[in-house]
Amino acid sequence: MKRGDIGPISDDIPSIFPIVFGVLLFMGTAMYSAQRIDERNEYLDLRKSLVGLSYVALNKGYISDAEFDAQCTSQYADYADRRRVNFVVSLKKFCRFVSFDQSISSVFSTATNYGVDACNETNPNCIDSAYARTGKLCPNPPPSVTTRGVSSQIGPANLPPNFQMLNFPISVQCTRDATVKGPGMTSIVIWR
Amino acid sequence: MLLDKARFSRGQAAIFDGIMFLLFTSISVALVFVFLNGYGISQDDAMRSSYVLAYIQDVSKVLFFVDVSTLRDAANSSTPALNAEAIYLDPGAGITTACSPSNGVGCPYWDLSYGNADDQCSVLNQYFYTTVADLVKRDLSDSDVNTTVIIPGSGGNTGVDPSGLVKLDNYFGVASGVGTPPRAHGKTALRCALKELLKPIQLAGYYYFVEIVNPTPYEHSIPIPGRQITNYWRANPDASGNGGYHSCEDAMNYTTGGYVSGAARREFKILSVSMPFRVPRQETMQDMRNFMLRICIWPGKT
Repeated sequence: MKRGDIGPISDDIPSIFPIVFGVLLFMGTAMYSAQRIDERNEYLDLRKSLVGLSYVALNKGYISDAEFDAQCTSQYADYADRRRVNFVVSLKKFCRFVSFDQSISSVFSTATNYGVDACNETNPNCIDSAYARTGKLCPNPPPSVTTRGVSSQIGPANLPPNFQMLNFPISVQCTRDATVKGPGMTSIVIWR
Repeated sequence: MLLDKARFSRGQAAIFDGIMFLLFTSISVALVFVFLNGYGISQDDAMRSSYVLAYIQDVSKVLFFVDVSTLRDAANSSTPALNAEAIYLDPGAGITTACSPSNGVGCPYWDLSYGNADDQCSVLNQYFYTTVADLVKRDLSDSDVNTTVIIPGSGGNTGVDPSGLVKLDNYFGVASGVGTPPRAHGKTALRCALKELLKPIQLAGYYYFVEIVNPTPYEHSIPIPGRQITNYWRANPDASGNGGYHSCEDAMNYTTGGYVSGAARREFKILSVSMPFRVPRQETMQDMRNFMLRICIWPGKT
């Protein structure tokens, strides 16, 4: 074949380059967009599951200790199973004021920051010294996640890349007999 | 010669096809990226709205359970670094320095700690086994009675207000033969509760305004200087009782020069949640008035 040859095939050869480049560009774009759409759908599905779980957990404005424990093993776990997600529901019983002066690690523990509230004789504002107002966790202990081949209990150091979290206000049991209810906060963490 | 020309044209057509194909492909790819850029955005917005809506609905539900005595320390509730209300700045209104407790300007929660004793959260310490909603209903139950209130626009003077407004004013009816009506700190309880429960909303940069509305005939709560249920200090009337927000709609009517009734509405995205709030009449304590509790939030720009 000579340079500048005109024949049944040879004169089409120059057009092959833009055609091949166009096909590659289109296929690359198609693959990239499919990947992005999958990621987006996954994010939206997780978000939907998170909002759905919040509806289950916060069906009324108050949750007692016993209700939380009962719902943890039934309603929360059932819903998460159906949506194929992992979850942690954390209940913070502030009872005096809502405090955000805490790290994300406290979401995965039962510790609650009460500010200056210490139930002792020098604090007349103490509501019920006999009742430990620690937070609640569901499930307790939190589930394990595997990151870099190492399996460990979920925490701020090994949060899954696709985790999502929302906070909601709720009133909580502040005395042993639940006669006094105070402000609390529910954090719901979800991942797949 | 003619044959050569035809052959040359054929080669030109082939390269033209290739370039056209590339052009169409490029246009298709551009369209795909445009689609990709917007894909899921509206769904994501809807999800975020549903979260905020669920949050506000939860707040209104929580009011029916929280004991007011647990809110007595609400005004002292945060470390300075997180005490957003104490360092509230409003450059649009010329407030460029952090608020000071000495004057309270720019500090929407100033009076919850430093103001009149009846406006401070600590006053709630006297109520036991009473929920916020109970106390608010007690406060509102005298809405048909000629109670002593601060007359709007009177320079802070008190007097008998006969107009039958929605009296969320911390008073409970008229004490016969006594100058000072008894107290029911419903408004203070609501202010302290919402300050706590709406903290994430406030820290996210939103303003809120809460009101009790009588839908028929349409009436709002009495605006009292410094005592509106809001984290936006502009929503408070001045010391003479003028200006301030009377309802959620006023947030849209506000201009940079101050509140102007009927002013051109600004493009705030206001999210509003209303719930029925039935209140017994004080005279009979039997039949009910159908009020509504309304919480609205909007982005914090001036």
